[in-house]
Amino acid sequence: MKSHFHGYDNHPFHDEMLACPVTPRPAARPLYDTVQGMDRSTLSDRSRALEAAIDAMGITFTVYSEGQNIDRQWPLDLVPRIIELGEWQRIHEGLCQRVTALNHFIDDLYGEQAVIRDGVLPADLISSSRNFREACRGIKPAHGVWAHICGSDLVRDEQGVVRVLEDNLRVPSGVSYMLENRHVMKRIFPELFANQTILPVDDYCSQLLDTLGSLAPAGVASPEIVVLTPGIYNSAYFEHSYLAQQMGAELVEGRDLFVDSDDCLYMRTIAGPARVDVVYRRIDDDFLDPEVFRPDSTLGVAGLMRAWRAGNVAIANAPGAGVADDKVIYAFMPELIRYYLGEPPKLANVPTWRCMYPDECDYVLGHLNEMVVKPANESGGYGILVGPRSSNEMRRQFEKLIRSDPRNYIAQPTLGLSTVPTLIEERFEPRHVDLRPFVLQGRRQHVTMGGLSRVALPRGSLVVNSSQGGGSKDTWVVDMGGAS
Amino acid sequence: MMLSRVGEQLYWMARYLERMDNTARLIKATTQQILDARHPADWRAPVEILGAATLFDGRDLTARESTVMAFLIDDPCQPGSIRSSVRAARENARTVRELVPTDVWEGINELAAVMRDDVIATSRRRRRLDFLRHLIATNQRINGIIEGSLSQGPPYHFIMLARLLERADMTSRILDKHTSDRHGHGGRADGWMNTLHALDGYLMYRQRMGAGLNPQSVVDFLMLDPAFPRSVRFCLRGMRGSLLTLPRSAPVLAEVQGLDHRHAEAEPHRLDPGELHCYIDELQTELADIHGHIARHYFPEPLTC
Repeated sequence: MKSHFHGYDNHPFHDEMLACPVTPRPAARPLYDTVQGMDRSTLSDRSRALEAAIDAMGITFTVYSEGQNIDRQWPLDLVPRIIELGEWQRIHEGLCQRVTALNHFIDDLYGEQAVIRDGVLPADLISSSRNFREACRGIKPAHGVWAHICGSDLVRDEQGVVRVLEDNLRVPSGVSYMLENRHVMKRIFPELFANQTILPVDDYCSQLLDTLGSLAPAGVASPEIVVLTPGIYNSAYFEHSYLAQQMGAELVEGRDLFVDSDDCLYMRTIAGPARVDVVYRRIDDDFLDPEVFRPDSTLGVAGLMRAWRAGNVAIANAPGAGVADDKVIYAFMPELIRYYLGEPPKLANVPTWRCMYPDECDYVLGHLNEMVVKPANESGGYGILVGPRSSNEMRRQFEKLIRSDPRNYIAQPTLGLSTVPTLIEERFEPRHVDLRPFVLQGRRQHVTMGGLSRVALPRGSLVVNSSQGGGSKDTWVVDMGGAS
Repeated sequence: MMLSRVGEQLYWMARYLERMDNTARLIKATTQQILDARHPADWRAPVEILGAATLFDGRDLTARESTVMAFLIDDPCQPGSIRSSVRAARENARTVRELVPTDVWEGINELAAVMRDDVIATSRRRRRLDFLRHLIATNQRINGIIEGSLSQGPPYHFIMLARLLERADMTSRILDKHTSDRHGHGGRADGWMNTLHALDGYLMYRQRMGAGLNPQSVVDFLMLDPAFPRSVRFCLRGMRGSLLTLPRSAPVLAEVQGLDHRHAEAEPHRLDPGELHCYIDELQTELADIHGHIARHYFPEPLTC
């Protein structure tokens, strides 16, 4: 039988599964052998079974297109991304270090701002930051932690180095898909899970519950925890509902909650008002409280910030934590880790040019056709220029944008993201992937085992966002028991 | 404690599932009856029973089999169609799926998939019956999962409240159609048999009432039998039981108990056809009032924009 990988060409990128087309990396050997032992029709059967499972489990995501919300089946590829445990442990440590530093940084920004006083960060960077919230100055959240749930995007470059591409501290999403991907894969490849040690991912929800519980106001023995969603039409609603269900927490919308004259938060139940102690909010700061932020918001709760300031309710992530999402702040992360922790970063950044500095800006404008330019405060892959795939017209547009607002743009070299074999019309072809692990920080720290692997499905594409045609893969951290 | 909004959504999920189920049973029974009938087929009957005659006539539709089936099963703009009920049940279930066993949600997805994949086949009778059986069986599986896996707390009891209210309403509609027919009280036995079949009550009726089929005892059975799960009295008693476990339920409970009492006193089986028709009208208004009490008492204020 001809190898399924005949003609597989990932050059010049690092492939996560294959060292070369005929040799799997050691941790991927069982998967490779299993796949090679299947004929084409068996593979197609598994692929169909996988789609049927996703359909039956109702795993969907919502895209907003042409004025309508459309529920689409969640795209999961048959081939997982595999990481050997030893390497994962190094990444794990790097993530813990990074989130610790990020929380020190946010706490400092809303406190005494030593980082500015000591000249590590320019003051005008903060005063011009869209996500810095003056209303949060002086607040002391539990454990000094502001970013309780952090999703950092990791990529591997051509040299095989794992780098952090960005940090998501506002309302990072995707963890439910990580969990569901694993459920589906266990249904489809039970033999692979039986015959090797693929480390489980399913303790995330109890860890999240533990993290949220550790934020409750002092003296509350069994805290009432709610997940605050903007509602059914939000693209991540599936996840909001999933997490609430798994934690046994109430899934609430803004209209289910109110703050009473005692500055406490209550939800409307069939038995009357019930006190709420911890809010895991999945709506942006802007919409959180019309008394403080956008007055036209109907998604939030009037008075929520009052209740938070009074210490009567905890909010995760804390309002204002998104200040560290700023991609210009990201560029300062190596310095910030050294400043707060006195140690070198364990995970590398992607080299980043900050357009706020004239010399760096000149370099960016001179090399637009080779770089990826990103606005400082967008998410979801919007508003990005991918230089090598751009037209003259688009580059002219971006030059104008950058010149008019240099503070809000950064640029990075176009990365040759690593690839994983992906089933495209019954053939395996290399497709670029990234990885979003989730880090929890409350009284304790917890990192997911692996994370959500996202894959860019069109040939050569680097855009992994599901809202823009990206797919996903299960992520297997494989313990080889010293056999590697 | 359960959110008021969640209570409302569970309630509507259960009502639409029950409505879908009842509509499917009614279509199934009508199709079978018409196959046996010696007189011209009355395809308009199910449209009237489901309270959709005004919409049907407003669209200038004719009471042909294919038109009526498309209207009752597949029409997305007909609020009582099976398609609309499945969609509404799913929309409501989506927002409360964290509160019900996962298999309930999977069952509702299956209903949506059946509507997507198999509905085309309904123009042919044999395929239509298979299709309807599939819908009913799926819904019965959902009900079974709810019985077997959902703790009997407030979400369960809101589901019961909604299901029983919808069911009582449907039983009264089916009975009403029959009594107001020209074959009405004292009419032909096969008509009464069909009424029992539409409510899946034929066997239970036989066991309870013995041989012979007389109109009085059918009305008695469907209105007042304490043990048949589709009788109006059974539904009211079940609602009472659920309300007893819910917090702050006293005002609604009083309404349901009042209705149960009046319903037994009215002795509907002793009424002549004209009186019975009026009585059923009254009963339906009272059932609608009970819905109003539940909504005002437990559901959140409607959003004012």
